[in-house]
Amino acid sequence: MPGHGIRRTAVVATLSILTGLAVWAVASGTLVSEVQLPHPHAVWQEAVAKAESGLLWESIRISLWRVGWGWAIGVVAGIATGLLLGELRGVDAVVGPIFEFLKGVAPISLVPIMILWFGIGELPKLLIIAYITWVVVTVSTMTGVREVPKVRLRAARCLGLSQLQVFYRIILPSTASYVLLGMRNGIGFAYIALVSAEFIAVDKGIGFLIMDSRLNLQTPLMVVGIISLGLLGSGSQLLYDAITLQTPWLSRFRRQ
Amino acid sequence: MIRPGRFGPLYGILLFFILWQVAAAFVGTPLLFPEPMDVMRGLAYMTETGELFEHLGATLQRLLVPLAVGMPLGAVLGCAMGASRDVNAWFDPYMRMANSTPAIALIPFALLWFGVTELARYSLVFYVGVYVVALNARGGVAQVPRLRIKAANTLGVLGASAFFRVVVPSSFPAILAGVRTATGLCIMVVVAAEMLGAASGLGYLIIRGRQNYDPTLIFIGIFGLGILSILFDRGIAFAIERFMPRWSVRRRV
Repeated sequence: MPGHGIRRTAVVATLSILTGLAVWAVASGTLVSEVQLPHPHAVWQEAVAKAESGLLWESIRISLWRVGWGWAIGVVAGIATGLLLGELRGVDAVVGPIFEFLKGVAPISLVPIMILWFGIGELPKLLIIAYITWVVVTVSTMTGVREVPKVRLRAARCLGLSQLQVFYRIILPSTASYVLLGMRNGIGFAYIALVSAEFIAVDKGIGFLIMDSRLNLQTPLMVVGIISLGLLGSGSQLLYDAITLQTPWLSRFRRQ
Repeated sequence: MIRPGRFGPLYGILLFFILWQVAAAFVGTPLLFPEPMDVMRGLAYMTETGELFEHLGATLQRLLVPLAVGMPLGAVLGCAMGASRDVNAWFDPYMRMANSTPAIALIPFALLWFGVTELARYSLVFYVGVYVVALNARGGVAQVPRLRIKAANTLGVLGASAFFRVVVPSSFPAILAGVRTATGLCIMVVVAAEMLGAASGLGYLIIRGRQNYDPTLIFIGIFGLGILSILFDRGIAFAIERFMPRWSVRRRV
């Protein structure tokens, strides 16, 4: 099965993508109007035009800046909160429902209130992205601390480790894999929050590009925006995987 | 050391309201940050007029109808992808695309295609339900222990029969985990779609609160959303524990 299987998979996948493109190209302008479904070629031309004019790169740069900082702030805050709440044994049962509630509050629903509180600058957008990342990473970190094997803690106590040593040598390493997983899930949520913020509190960015092109019925630009967003999202996750899997002292925590 | 016991969640709810009250008192004006009592009063009023149930019902309908169609379809697609390399290779590129693009980004597209209609919201939720459950089902099929299939083969259960009697039931916990993930994501999508174009639903309440400069209404929307998510998630988990204990996901998350 091995060698033959992989080649066959590649052939079928290529066929599938080509069929998809062909259906898209044929349907555009015949089954569906070109306003609703622009021709692939028109999308490509639009992408090239907007890349040359610099609008695409500018939007990507701004969106990446927002999602990067928002995510980073959320991760730092989330790890701190998760470790603190997880360490206080029994507290997780109390704050658990609160975080369940917070996780259920969609980032987009917070956009109006954030604008009300902080205006329309960069701060509310960063806060919305940081908020959802914070919730995801906190929950994951708390779970990690709770799941530290009791045997390890008892062994550490038997061997005479101090509270601080237990934290550094047992709890942190045992929790690391959960933290890394939470950070990875956080990327997806950060992008959801990014689009949410840029859809409503609009001035620049990829989300704004998509929304603006809808109002102007520039569908090719809308498709370019959606595809760029998909590429950025998967690119960010690939980059994260590459960094965490290639760094020796991190990769051993990513086995699960 | 705190021992909250079984009342832990109750303390949590109490703590939540206390924190909210303190924050609101700190800000000091309901025009920026309404107190819990303001929101509760608003909720009571909207319950009395029946408006609350109207909006809650609209959001629920937009969630449940397309999910009820999309999730079984996703489960079938995912199992087929898990069973056949060719089916998997065919759909995998599209699954990757769907998984890396936030569904919210597709809202303008859905509005362009279907206008500001129920169909636009249904199609988005349907799409998310299909791909999320399909991805989970595929993962579930891939993780079925080889030994279990071999044992079935030894006992004379072969081929398709083994697939339906061993592989599909074994991947059920993964599918149910997918159902939970999908509902969580779909709540976000529905609210976003309601905020970008609708005349009912929790998302619409938030936008109306923004337009009328009524933070209490915004908070009612946010609060309702959080509660709705918890009820959904707990409801699904409870239903699995209660009615399908052999497929419980509790120990797998």
